[in-house]
Amino acid sequence: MRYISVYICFLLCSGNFNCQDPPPEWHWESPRQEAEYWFEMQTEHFMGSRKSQYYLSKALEADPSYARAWVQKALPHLQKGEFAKGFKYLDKAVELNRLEYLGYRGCAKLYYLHDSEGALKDLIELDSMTPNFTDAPWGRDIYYTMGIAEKRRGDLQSAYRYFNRSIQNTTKEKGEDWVEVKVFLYRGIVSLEMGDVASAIKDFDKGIQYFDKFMEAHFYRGKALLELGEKGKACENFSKAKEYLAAGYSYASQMYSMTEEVLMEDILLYLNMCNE
Amino acid sequence: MPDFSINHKIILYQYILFGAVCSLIFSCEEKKMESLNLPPYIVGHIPYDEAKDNPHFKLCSNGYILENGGRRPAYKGGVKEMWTYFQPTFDQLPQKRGENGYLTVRFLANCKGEKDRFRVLAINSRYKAKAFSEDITALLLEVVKDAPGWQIAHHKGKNYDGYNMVTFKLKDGQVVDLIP
Repeated sequence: MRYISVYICFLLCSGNFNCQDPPPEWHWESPRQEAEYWFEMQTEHFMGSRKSQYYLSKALEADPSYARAWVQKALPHLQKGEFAKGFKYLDKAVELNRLEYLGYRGCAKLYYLHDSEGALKDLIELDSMTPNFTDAPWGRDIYYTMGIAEKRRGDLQSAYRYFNRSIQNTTKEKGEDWVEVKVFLYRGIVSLEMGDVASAIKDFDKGIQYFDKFMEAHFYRGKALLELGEKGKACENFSKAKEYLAAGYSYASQMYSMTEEVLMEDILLYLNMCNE
Repeated sequence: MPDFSINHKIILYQYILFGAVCSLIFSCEEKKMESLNLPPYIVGHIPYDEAKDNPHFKLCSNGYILENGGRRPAYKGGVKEMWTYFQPTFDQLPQKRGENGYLTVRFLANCKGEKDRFRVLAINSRYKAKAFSEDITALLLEVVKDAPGWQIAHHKGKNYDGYNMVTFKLKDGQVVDLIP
């Protein structure tokens, strides 16, 4: 029993010391090292939570030039519609490390605000800063994102060129199977909108070849086949799109709206037509 | 006086120990938060404001609130249906030179589908905070409040409280894009 009492005392004492943020300041070799420590701490918490905010504040207090922490601070604000704050923090990151975060900001402008012009300005500048290198902001080939921005802006020719460049570059460097299937989808959609139905179908087929449950590719393939008057085959594609969407296969994002998002309502509209 | 055996005493000590450690952990967290003077909420939270909000609006849970209504789209029928419902209101918006930027309406919908705590957040074309003219703001806020298609947050067969939002892109006072 005496040991338990001692144990309790020990825990209470160590607990009190734990109230101070470990480890003490004199351990840090540089402000960046301290900032990186606090940054790592915040990764254990839900983005935007009180604890996450707390640790990010500690990181930026230690080293206000730590661009990565500014980006992390920006993210929850962007996701929750607080764009003034979100872009203020993101601008700070770009100011500190233009090469690293210009593309990130470009993607944020495109996906959160549909600001194609603003996005393209950032992405074109980034591309010019890195000749002979293909950037990948938000983990995607930059030419794919530029294609999306041009398509949203309504410049189909330019969008097609960017999607084409993305596919050709990746194929040349790593092989066609490394091309993200969404690039085939978008090049196909652009072809379809420009009236080149045959090329569009080829691209949708490519997408399906690499990912057979590619719901969006099945849906747009159905639309393309309808244009060719092949109602029966088109309806097969719409049925597949319905089946895959019901099973959860969709590229739609929870956090931002995707261009050319396919909803169950869209598919059902076409399937109703199939039943007429 | 109850007769405690050694085993009972050990169990009692263990409870005391557990309680002491828990209270220490939580008091430490509180101390940390207080010392930083941070807002007491997660990013994006909409606290009750008696000047703006309905006092009878109740959340079903105690703080577990899903984002985007827990699903995408948060509006039945998606962007197309939103355009269809909002268009008559968009047609009433006055043409106003310089009224450019983005107006976001964010709100809470509880697990029963009741809505409240509507907030307007607006920025100009350079992403700096801005206030749009009162008539534009009021029209857009009202149409979001009245829209019938907002979906109840849903996860694994259960309804939850959820945040929803929509952003209007404006050019000279006219809505040119709608971002769910």
